[in-house]
Amino acid sequence: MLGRRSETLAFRRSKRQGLTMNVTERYHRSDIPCAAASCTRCPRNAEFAKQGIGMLQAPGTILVPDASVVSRYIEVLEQGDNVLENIVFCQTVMDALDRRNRTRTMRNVRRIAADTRRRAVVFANEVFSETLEKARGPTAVERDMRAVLRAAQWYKRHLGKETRVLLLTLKDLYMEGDDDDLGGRVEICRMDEFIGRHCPVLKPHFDSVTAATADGDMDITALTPAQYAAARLQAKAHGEFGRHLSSDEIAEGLRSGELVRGKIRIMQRTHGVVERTDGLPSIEVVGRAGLNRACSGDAVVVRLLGHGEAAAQDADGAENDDEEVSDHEDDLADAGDEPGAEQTQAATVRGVVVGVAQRSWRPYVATLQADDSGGARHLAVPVDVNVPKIRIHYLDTSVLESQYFVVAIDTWPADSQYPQGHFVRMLGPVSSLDTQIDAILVERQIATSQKTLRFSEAIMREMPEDSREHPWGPSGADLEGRRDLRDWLVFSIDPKGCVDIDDAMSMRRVDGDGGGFEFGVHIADVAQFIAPGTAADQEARARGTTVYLADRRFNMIPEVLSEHVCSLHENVDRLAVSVVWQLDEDLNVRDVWFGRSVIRSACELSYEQAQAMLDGRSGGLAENLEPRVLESLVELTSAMRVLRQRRMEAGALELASTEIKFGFDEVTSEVTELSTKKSLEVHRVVEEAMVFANAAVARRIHEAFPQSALLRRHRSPTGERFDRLVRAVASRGFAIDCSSNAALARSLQTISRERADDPDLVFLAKSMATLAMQEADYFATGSCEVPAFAHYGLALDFYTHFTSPIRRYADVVVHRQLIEAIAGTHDGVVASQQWVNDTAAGLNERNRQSKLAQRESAELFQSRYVAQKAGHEPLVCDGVVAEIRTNGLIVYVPQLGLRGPVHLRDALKERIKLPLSAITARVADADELVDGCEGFSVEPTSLSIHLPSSRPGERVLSFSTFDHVRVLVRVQDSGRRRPQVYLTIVGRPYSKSSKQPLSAKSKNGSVAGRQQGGGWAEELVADPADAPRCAVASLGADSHFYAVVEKFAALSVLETSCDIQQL
Amino acid sequence: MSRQELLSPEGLRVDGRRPNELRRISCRASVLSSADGSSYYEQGNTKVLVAVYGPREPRQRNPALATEQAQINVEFNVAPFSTSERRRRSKGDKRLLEVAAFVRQTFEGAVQRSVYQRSQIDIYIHLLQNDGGTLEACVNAATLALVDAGISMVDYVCACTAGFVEETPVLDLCGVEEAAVETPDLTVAIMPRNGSIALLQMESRLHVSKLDDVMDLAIEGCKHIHTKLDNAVLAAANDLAEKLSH
Repeated sequence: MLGRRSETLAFRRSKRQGLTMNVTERYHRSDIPCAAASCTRCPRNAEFAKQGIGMLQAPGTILVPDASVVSRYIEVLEQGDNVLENIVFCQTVMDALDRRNRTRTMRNVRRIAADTRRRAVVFANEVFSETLEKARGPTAVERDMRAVLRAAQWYKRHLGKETRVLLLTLKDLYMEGDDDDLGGRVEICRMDEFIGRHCPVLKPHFDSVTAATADGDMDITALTPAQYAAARLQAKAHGEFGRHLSSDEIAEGLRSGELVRGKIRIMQRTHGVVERTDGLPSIEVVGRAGLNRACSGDAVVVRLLGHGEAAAQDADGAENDDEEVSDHEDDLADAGDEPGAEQTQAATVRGVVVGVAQRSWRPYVATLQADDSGGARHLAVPVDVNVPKIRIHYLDTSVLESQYFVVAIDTWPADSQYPQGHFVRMLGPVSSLDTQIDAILVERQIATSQKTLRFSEAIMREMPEDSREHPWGPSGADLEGRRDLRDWLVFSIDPKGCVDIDDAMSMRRVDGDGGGFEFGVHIADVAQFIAPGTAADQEARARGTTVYLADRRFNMIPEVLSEHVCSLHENVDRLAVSVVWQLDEDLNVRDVWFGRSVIRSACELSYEQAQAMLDGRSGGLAENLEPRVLESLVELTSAMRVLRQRRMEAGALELASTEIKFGFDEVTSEVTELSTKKSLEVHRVVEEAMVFANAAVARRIHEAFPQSALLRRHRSPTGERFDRLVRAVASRGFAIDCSSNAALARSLQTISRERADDPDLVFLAKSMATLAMQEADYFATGSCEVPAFAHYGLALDFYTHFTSPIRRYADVVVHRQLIEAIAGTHDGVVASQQWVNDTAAGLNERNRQSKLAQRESAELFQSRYVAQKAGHEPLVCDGVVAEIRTNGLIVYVPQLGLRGPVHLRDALKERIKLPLSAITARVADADELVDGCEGFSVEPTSLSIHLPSSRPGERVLSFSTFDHVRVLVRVQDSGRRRPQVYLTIVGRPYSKSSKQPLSAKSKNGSVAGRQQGGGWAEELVADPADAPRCAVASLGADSHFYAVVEKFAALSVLETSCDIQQL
Repeated sequence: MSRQELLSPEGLRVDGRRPNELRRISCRASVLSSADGSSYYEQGNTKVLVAVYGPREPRQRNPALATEQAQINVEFNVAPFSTSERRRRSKGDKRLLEVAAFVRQTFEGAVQRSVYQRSQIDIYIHLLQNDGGTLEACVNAATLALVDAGISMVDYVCACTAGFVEETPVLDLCGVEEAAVETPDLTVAIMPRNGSIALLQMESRLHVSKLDDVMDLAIEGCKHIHTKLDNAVLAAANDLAEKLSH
């Protein structure tokens, strides 16, 4: 309860107002809990636990870092995942950071506290009446230290003898025997001794941070408040960049409307676009001075420019480019950017960055660009092209040659060209596959390395036992309260070789009163084994999803659950959550039942087996089993056909999809095959069943939890994304109606019907429609109105993810909500809208990162495959021009399923680099350039080069979208960034049917008919739902796809994938 | 907890209160002997002094304006030292006039004006320190002063502010919370006996679905304030009784 009230007087000095006095009041209370899991004396501990805050573990060792440690070594605290746990951050420390405007450090502390696995809490000791430190002198720093000491002593007294409390500090001001009279004996430990003694694994990192911050002012206790205030007023305004405004000035500017907040995206290193949160048009920021040290992804504050200032900026801008030139490598894999980007500058709003509200810095993987002058200050070049180079200190650079290592950025002072950072740790040699995988994991923030992705001891202890001697089976207690469906005919259909089976179906006809069907979908009951709040649950929530890379996967839950105990294998009893519908003859739902059940799957079918059975061939099952399964399967298929048709009529979209599968040699882990996935009817049957189940569960949990149900929505695309599609199709004489999903679906169907002779156009239209889509995301129902719940792509009003709890955490949450909905209870954290919102935001981010990681790993293996093949003999393939770019082309090679750049002009637009092989069609001429090319013009749909007049024959060589070309595929391995595939043109472009080179005249005729919008900048990532569940991809009998793929050569223009399940 | 976090994940606000707690309220009636009724009201660090004169002869003897009901006239003054930065406001400042108009409208509904025909009741409000919630403090203090002046009222008028921070309704915003750019700030004044609303004012934006929760919280706060005001009136009455009995 509220106790005494105290008033504090504080003086602030600011430029405008001079010295002002501020009076703040504070209420002291006695109900601040200690946040220790085992403590029963603090009544509010239960609330903390319910909120999902990670509780301290007592008895144990509790660390209490003081302001000096937190401000200087926040990074060591952050990165010490598995080692530094049980931390108490005192409010004193947070206030001290706040007074020094260390907002980023405060956010990092909050992030550590928010990660439940770290068991870190923020303790409100300034407000707690028992830890009140009244005496104010002699200095503010000493007063803060005493306050922290008091808090530590209180913890010691409160939690008793078995708990050790360590106060970490950098200073010697504490005296050991300070506290005996109150019975709390706190151990005071210097940070360097502590690291050396208790966590030596962090010592290298600790040392590097010490070195990096030695001359800086990271330690806030080093300066007194007066010194700090004086230093800030004399902020260095000289140097390359303008000063960033203080938070007061920013708040004032935001209120008056002079400044605007938004998120910045930087392209081409000097050109940034700020997206505003309130939906007003984006602001352009041009030039390094204008960008003012902002990095892509930061939340920035921008000042809008009037016309006069904008013009002046343009005039200055020209001079700055000299710096950029020296940085720019001649990149063979750089085909430039979308054309037409420069033309849209007409009337946009311009601005300059005057402050950064939130930095999006993270650990980066980089290689070294050594400082040849012999100094110790080198540049780390990040693998991610959009990140600026970082200056680091490192003495022995020979160790870092051609190695990947992780760096972090500390600051970017106004007078420095590059941000300053420091070395964090080594990853390994660039050429090693494992290092490349680690690099992907670090860049996507999935894990610090593959080793840390193993499950910890604590988690494995919570797992049920399942071994050969004691195979797991449901016990009596498990079976209580479950509906026994073991006598039902249940079967599952999954990719061949799949071991983590999370869904099974059952379908049977019902005789008597009206007939109809009893259709059931049974999902593995993962929530039974992963209780909320346990270590396994926290880990799964932090991971969010199973990460699929091209050749391996990192599971969300331990294999003992995902592959054995939860997986619905055949002929064993398994626990499940079932949805059973009673349908009438017309497949309308009469009744639906949700609940926990126990099933015994009769067989695990593969997709190919099931399709074979539907086609009338044998599926290879036992004699007494096959006819029954066949009957069920046939009924299921016809029912799902009807349901799918209904959804199509309601406006569900059927979009284009291609996916690449890799085949590996197990011994050498070399890539042996690249193939595309076939889509069978049975895939669609299973999809439809899952969609039906997801939709039903979504409605049910929304009923029970109107504010906090976890659903999935897909917002309709905005008008401008469709413009390209409309324009492109209009050029062929069709109209597309984008007003609603039903209208769009009908338009696409019309096109597929009437132009069945040109599968090219049909596929293209569908791909463009796919690219115009927004991403689907998770959300809590309380955060928006009911109409906003809709799923555009599936044409459903309510949708969620329910059917794959083994590989997605969202499904686990939905399971828990469903079970509570059935039981009618509202306990637990799943009822809290705040928790569900936070979780949804986290899951959306994790999903995005894992998709990017999957794409990057696919690119990695593609380049390895190409490197292997090209090693034996030159790899020349047929390709289709997919996009035109300012300095070259993007060509799609269907045989390899990859898109590669063709570099035709260098980055500064000075030299035209046309390879001789383009004219002579001889591979040997690929590296020779044609001298004296005269013109280079780029249109949205074509690119033309004027050949030198000395050459005989045609004067103009031009490429349009959809031209076929032959290309030489090679890999550029600079040792610095990831090896990249690049293409060189061999021979002139030819038309599909005649294979004759296209002359300029005939091209003009066909160009008019082929004006499509260029530049599909985004790609959707292949959905890993089915194929890469198995480590080794299966190769069908017709593994030589080239013959088949050649027919669709012009079809497979884009590497897009849109699996309905992923929506 | 800090300037950046208006509501920490542990449920504590900048000054250590929880979302549903009021600041300390301290109020006294009869502080000025020269006025007919007066009060001094403190809510947290917001301090208001009110003097009530009336009912008395209306100053403007305009027959057109002569009504059967009393006229309420409110003047609102903000001391230049009330904020951390010394700033003088002119008398005609729009914001001051607006607050005065709100208070006047509120009490036109609460005071039984037909009892005092052809008279004028003056309420002079002085804001001595501003730390958020000025309108609520003015209304509460004016109620107390009117009661002290013995003017017939239908009921007390108790006001309270509430806002919405981090998806949680919070009661009684202090200065730091009000100044934050995104905090909606709702002031509600009710007459506790029948719960009718005398004043409802908000300047920022709040989604309509959240309005119910925020208003309910504010009304709860009003009821607590009613108790405080009542105690202050009793205390003043006791004082008076003691003086008279000697």
